[in-house]
This record gives sequence, structure tokens and C-alpha cells, in this order.
Amino acid sequence: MKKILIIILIIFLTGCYNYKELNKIGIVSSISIDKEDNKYIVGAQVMNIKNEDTDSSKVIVYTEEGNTIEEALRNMTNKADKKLFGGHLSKLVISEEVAKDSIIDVIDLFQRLPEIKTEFNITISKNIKAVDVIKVMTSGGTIPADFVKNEIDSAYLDSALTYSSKLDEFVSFYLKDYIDPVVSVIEVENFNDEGTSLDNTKTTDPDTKIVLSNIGITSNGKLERYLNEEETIGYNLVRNNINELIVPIKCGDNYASISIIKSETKYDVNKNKIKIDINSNGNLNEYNCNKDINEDTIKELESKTEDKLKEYIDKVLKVQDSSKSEFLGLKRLIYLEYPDYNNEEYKLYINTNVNISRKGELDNSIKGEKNE
Amino acid sequence: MNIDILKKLQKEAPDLKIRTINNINIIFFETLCNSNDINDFILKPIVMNNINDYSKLIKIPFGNYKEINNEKDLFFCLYSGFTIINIKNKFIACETKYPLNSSISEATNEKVVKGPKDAFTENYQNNIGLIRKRIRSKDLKVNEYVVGSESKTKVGLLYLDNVCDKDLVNEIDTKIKNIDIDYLLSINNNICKKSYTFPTYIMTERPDLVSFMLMEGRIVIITENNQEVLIIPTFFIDIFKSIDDHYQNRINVTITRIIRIIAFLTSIIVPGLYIALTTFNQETLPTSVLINFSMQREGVPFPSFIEAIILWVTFEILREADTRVPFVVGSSMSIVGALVLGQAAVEAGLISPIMIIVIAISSVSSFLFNDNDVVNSIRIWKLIFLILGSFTGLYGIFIGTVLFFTRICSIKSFSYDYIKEKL
Repeated sequence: MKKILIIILIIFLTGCYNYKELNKIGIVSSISIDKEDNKYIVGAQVMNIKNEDTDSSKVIVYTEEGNTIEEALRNMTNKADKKLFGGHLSKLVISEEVAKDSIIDVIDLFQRLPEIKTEFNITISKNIKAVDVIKVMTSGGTIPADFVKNEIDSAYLDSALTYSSKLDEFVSFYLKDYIDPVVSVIEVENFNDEGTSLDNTKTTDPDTKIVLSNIGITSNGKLERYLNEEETIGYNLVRNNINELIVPIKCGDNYASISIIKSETKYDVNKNKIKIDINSNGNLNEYNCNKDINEDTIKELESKTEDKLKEYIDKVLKVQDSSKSEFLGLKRLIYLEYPDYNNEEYKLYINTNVNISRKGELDNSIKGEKNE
Repeated sequence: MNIDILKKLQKEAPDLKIRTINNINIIFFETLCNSNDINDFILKPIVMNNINDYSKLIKIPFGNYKEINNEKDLFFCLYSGFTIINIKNKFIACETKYPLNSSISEATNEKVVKGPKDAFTENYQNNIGLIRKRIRSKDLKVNEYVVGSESKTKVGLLYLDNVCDKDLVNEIDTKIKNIDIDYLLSINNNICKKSYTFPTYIMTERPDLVSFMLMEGRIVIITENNQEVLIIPTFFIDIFKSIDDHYQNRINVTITRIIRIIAFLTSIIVPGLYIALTTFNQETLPTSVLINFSMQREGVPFPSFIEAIILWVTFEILREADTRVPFVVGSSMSIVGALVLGQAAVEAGLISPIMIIVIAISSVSSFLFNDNDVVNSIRIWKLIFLILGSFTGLYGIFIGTVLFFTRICSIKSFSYDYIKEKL
């Protein structure tokens, strides 16, 4: 009898804490943060889940202002019919202005709330208000916020043109010494009112598009500057983030392109010398040069690719030299080896090695085959 | 002791016949005896040889006969299908039993893919024969008891002398001897502890399973007039075993058993887990799954818990009805169940389709086990998990899991632990 009583108490003393029915919660997929007159303007993109295929939009965006982000979210209950639920937040859009002020102040709430996954993307909206980014109607998928998430993932994994920056990694890089986090950057092409309506998804060439714009680097929790394409590739090469990479090579008047399918970056730290070894495997995917493909030309292509990779890295190192930010984390490499390291100068040696393992069925360019 | 008590009995038992030839009384129940046997082996010799005294009578060749000295024996023999021959004050009984049972047929309750098809019948002797046919060993011992003060049911305790644990035999032996009951239906409730939901025994109608279990050192109890034979003790892992596993490739059977374990856990946990995840811990589900669930719940008036209970009770009613109704009506039952209750309830917006999937998968999973006791104990645990999950979320599911395992571990199957792997 005692046992049964204990079991019953375990169940009923909780008072159904945290109970919420599925149809009573509004799933927040994105949150945007702007600032105006020292007040945060927070936008929440809430999924508008309907059983039938109606013409209504899949998401609703509520905006409110407040001194803190949570205050703004609280004020939203005046507008929303469901309790906002942040457990499935997939991206946070921070406007350039707020980001330059402080990113860290903004994300404290999201790190602290237990229901929120720490795996959402942190993005900066460049040249546009953050709330406008989450208002853009995108096609495809049942979850509109996933559009940007998938966009970032494919750009990062297939071409290394951006970096997918997640909350937990952002915070941990910020807290560590000698390394600073980076963020993905979003732009909106041609933003207008029609871009926020369903019509935007009905054409093959939507007027308003969300476009990724590489990455932004931070120092001390603030956005410092943006990197361009080549610098971003250089960043990913140094940080060993390459999954796939397309490298265009110039040969004479024409181009060939090498697709790097496997790349590994190794660091060798010795006192104040850092040696970075990049070993890559690639395929020859496109070839329009005049020369026949043989061992010599392959070697030439390999060395040209190596030079190109070095060029990417040189560009990002130039940014590193002129910036306060430690986004490459090179000093951290020394710090990990020699914990009494104190911000001294270091020398960097870069060595790239590319191996082309597949060249395709043709021995020459198609044009060249015909001339033979 | 004389014929008058039998004549008195005849008034209340019209099927009791008393025939008198040459002052020899022949008494028998026409409902229990084979009249051909009586004609050929009793009446014919008596009339042909003109027998009229006891010394001549016992020269008639009977297969199974005995002299009767007291009233108790007289009635026992009479009711067991013997014919009583009375000459002066002497009574002898000879067996003329008419077999009142179905012949050996296929096992109907326990379906198997491979293996023999024969099944036990209601006949006690047949059942022992079916086992002796498989184990031709002098070590197969049979202890016989008569249980039931009115029914006088024959109960046989079988074990292999060289394999079986003697302490266990003695334990069961005293338990059977101590049974105090008027009428014995089935022996499992009298010797197994009642407070356990999971069965510590197997009731089977398959002789090959019984013989296999005997070889493992388990005890088998055969009850007269019951085609289900009791095997004790059994353990938790026996739930996942089926006798036709032994007729198949063992690698394939391993996979089958893994599937049974998955099905067992599925049927217990899934309804509770679904409610816990969708009403408390939504952040643990993938976003697209959550959206689909949320879409289907749109417009359902009841909380998930009530919805699950409604559907579960409906399903249990259908199942109970399906086992009771005759086979002919069965198909119309399933139409009512599937179409009317399933589809229409969804279209009426009473129940979300996903809830039907959840309850259905959990119920179908429990039918992998052909022992009804297992199915019913799964049902109890399903309900416990459902309540824990709906009141406290994932926390409750963890509590339930701990409860479940402590319960399983604390069950005693006779003197053994229930989680023992093998006897």
C-alpha cells in the first residue's frame, strides 16, 4: 500500500508541470533582432499550422519592442493566439547594427532557456533589417526557416563558401582564449512587399531572394568585418573545415576546374613557429585547356591548384594581420601546446599538397578530341 | 453393501442401467460405457456359458477388472465408466469405458510455421502417451494425484528424474497435495503465485514444446479434461521463445527474437512515450515530425491522454468481442472496427490519425506473443506507462522503466529468479 501511495504521489505532485498540448503551441522557427532608440525590436516567425491546404501563409511574423528580448517576446502574447515555443528555433537573425554593438548580449537568453536547442544558426543580416529577412517568403519544404538552414548547410558542405555557426560553438569560442567565433551572413535581394506574400513562391524566378553572403568575423563578441568569397575559403582551409571545394585553374586562355573531395589540415607547432600542412585529394571535373591530359599536365594542374589554395590562405592571413579578431585561432594552437604563451609574435609556414586522382573518361578536352 | 443403494440411485440418474440375468446384476452408466464392449465381453459369456456363481464369473477374460469391497470404490468405478457385476454380495468392476474426447487434432491456439501439428486433447492417457512417444526413457517419472473433492480430477506430475531438481519436485508435490478445492478447472491458479502479472508458467497444447521443456529439467503437470498442459517454472526470457524456433536456421531465428524483443518494448512504451513527447518534451522531436503531429491534432477537442484512453478502451473492447464472437460474425466485426471506428472517428475529428497509428502499432506488437497471459500483462504495463507519460512526461517514462525492471527482477518463479536465463 505504501509503495502504491509513493507512486501515486510521484505522478500527481508534479501537477503536470510543463504540460502543453501540441495544438496549443506556436512553434517559433526564427527570431530576428533589430535595435531602434535603444530598444530591441524582436521579430518571431511562428509556424501557421493548418490541417487543410489553404492559401494562407505557412508562417506568421510578429514584431514587438522591449528593453530586453524576453520583454518583447512577452509583449507578443497580445498578438499571438498560441503560446510561443522556442524548442525548434532554427535560426537567429541579428541586424548588422545590433551585431556591431554586441552579439553576446543578445544570445544570453537563448543559451539560458532550457527548452531551446543550442544548435540553431546565428546569422547577420547585411544591409537590411533583420525582421525583413524572416518576412521573406521562400518556396519549398514545410518549414520555411529550414530554407535558410539548408542553404547554409549546402553552401558550407558543398563549396565552403560560408560557415555554419551554431550557438553552442559560438559561445564556446567566445569564452576560449585566443579564438573568436564567426557568423554566417545573409542578404536579401530586392526586398519589397511582394516578397513577403505567397506570390513570391509562385514563380520560377522569385523577385525577392535570400542570398548568403559568406561570413562575418567577430572580436570580443562584436561583429568586426565581413569576409569575401576567397577569404572565406581561406578561412575554411586553415580551420580544417573543407568538405568539398571547387577550385578554378587558369591554363592559357581557358580554365579547368578541380573539385577537392577530401582535404585535411594538419598543424605542427614548435615554439613560435606554426606549420600548416594541407593535404587534398581532388578530381578533374572540367577541362578546357589545349594540352592533352598526361602525367605532366596533371602535375602542372596539381601545382597550380596548390598555388591557388595558397593564394586563398594568403588572402585570409592578410585580413588576420589587419584585424583585432583571432578568428583563425592560430595563437590558440600555440597556447594549447605552450600554456604560458603570452601573445607573442609567431611565424607561419604554409604547405599545400594536392593529388588529383581521377580525370574522367576523356584524355583531352572535347574540343581537342575533335581536332585530333 | 448391496444392490439396493444402486437401485435408489437409479431414480435420480436415469442413465444408470441395471440388467439382471441368472440372478447376476450388471450395472453401468450408458452415457459413460461402450455398450458393444458390454454385449461382447460381459453379457455374451454370461449367457453362453450359463454362469451363475462367482467362481465361474471370474474366469471370464476381462482386460481390467477389480474386486470392490467398499461403497467409495464402487461409486468411483461406476462414475469412471466401469461396469459393475454383482453376484450375491460380491461386486467386481470391469472397464468398459467409452472414450468421451476429441481425437488428436491440430493445435489451434498456438500457430507455428514449422514443426509437428499434433496437439494435446482432453484425454489424460492420450496426453501422457503423446509425451512418452517423444521421450522413450525410463527416467520420465509420472506422479499421479486426484484433486478436487467432487470432481476427482486426475492430475499427473511429469519430470525427468536424471535432469530435474528434486527440491523443485518436492515443492510442487506438496503444493498439489495441499490443494483444497471442490472442482478443478485448471491447475495453474492453484500452484502459481497470483500477484504477478507476468506468467511464471506456460500453458500449452503442443507436445513437442512440453517434451523439450521436460528435457531442460522443467516440470510438467497434466490435468484430466484439459488440453492445456502446464509447464513450470518459466522465466522472463521464455516469453520471447517459440518452439518452432528450433526447427529453423538459428541465425534467422536470432533476428526473429530480436524483433520480438523490439515488439515487446514497442507495445509497452510507445503510447506513453508518444504522449510524453508531444505534450511535455516537444523539443526532442525533429521539427518536421512535430509539425506533422501538430497538423493532425488540429481541431481534436480532447487532450492527448483522453484521446489515447478512448482509443485504447475501444480497441480492447473490439479485441474481447473478436475472441468471443463466432467465426462467422468475425469478418463483419473487423469491418465495424476498422472502418466505422477508425476512419469515421478521424473524419469526425474526435481522434487524430497519428493516435490510431500509435495505439495500433502498440497493440499489434503485443500479438506477437501467443500466450494470452503475456498479452494481458503487456496491457497493464502499457497503461502504467501511459499514465506516467501523460502526467509527468519523459520523467515519468524513466520512472516507469525503473519500475518495470525492478518488478521483473523481483519476481520469483518458484524458487528461481524470474530473470534467470535458463533453468
